[in-house]
Amino acid sequence: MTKQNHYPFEASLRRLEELVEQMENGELSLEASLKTFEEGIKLTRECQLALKQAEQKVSLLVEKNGEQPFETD
Amino acid sequence: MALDNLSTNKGHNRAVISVANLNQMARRLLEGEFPMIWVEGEISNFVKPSSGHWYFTLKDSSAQVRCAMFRNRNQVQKVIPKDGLKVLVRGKISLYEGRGDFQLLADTLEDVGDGELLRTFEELKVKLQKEGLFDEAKKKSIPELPAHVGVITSPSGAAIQDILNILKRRFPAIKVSILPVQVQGKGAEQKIREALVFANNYTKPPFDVLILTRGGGSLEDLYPFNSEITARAIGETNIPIVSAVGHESDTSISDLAADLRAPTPSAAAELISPDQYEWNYNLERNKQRLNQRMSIVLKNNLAHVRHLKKRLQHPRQRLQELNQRLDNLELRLINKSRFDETKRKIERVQQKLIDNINNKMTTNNNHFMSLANRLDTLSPLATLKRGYSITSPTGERGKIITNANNIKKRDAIDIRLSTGIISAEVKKIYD
Repeated sequence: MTKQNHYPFEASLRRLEELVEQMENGELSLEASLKTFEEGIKLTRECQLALKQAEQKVSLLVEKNGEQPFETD
Repeated sequence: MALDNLSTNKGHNRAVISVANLNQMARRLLEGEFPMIWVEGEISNFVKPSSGHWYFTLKDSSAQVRCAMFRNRNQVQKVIPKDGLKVLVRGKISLYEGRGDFQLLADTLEDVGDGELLRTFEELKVKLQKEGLFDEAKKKSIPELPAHVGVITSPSGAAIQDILNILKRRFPAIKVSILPVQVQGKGAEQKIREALVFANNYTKPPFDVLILTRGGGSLEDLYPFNSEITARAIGETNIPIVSAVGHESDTSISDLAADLRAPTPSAAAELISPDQYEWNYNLERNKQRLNQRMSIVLKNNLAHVRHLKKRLQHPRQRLQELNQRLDNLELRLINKSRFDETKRKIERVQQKLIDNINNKMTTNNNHFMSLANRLDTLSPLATLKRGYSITSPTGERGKIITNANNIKKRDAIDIRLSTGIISAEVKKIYD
């Protein structure tokens, strides 16, 4: 996965909160508002989708053999 | 019936009580006299009937006592009694009335061997505490949402299943890696230390948080988590560690050394994971706030545009207004020039009139003068100057007497001369 996906949710949610605050506090121009809004909605969709599609990934880490899949029930 | 009543009733007034009463009184006495006590002994004749209660005999080299431990108490014991096991029993003294057996109602059981472990545990705890290994200031904070969680535990235990279930339910997007270790028995603490070192150096991807855990067990089972080696390995790890060892009531050295203590493995999983529903709720709320804000911005801008548009229409109206004013001024200007012209005309005419009149006046004056001259020549005054006179009846100066028949004798007459008037009386008339 790409670097951006290392903290996908946390960073996205933080950014989203930042955007909402900007919209609510700042006297943004129409153009800036639209840009902020667009980015916010995009982030929301991405997060919601990622949450919906997330599947638990479990592996067994053994020093000598590295990563092995771990059977879960 | 009270005991002192019994002791005063002697001789033929003896009071007889039933066995049941006796046993009841004896039980009350025993239960009232003895506080909660600890007794050390060896277990024998241990039985566990279907009721779930435990019964055994506690004995030493010279004596024995019956013991009962009821289900509600024995369920929370870590020590499972077996014949020959040396234990410490905490309980109350009582009497089983049905058999008249004096007995100990056990509340807590401890393995005598554990006493040694407990002492070591307490000593180590004090030592590490003095060193500052448990200091709050040293505790790392647990990330709000870890991307990668390492679980140091037995891969076959119940703990790992509990953790995976909770994480799957709460936030499946968290990647979980299990670092399998031996959690009890000889050398387990070394395995735990190795796993912690391994986790600390792992980078594919690095761990955001570690869970060090195992399920409940005897004090001996839990020993690896109460060892100095484990405690120091925890202290040397740079990743936040949540420790969940044994039952809720146990506090291990690793719990104290870790950054956060969880009462159970499940609780540890809950502590490190956000709730996806909460997150979804937050996302939805933020989306709504964005939408709200956006519609306000749009509305405001639209209103502004409308306002501007209205103001933009003004120039046309003003232009019309100005045009009108211009027309008005033009008209007034034209009128004014016409007026001026008329005024000039009038003035000219007036001047002409004045001139005319003046001319006429002059002419008339001249004419008058000539007429006056002529009149003068025709006037009787000139005739009078030549010596003629005009006679009129007195009082009727406009009437001139030109015929002597028109007057009578004695009539008063006025005779006008060139200069002066003579009043006279007619004396005689001549035809």
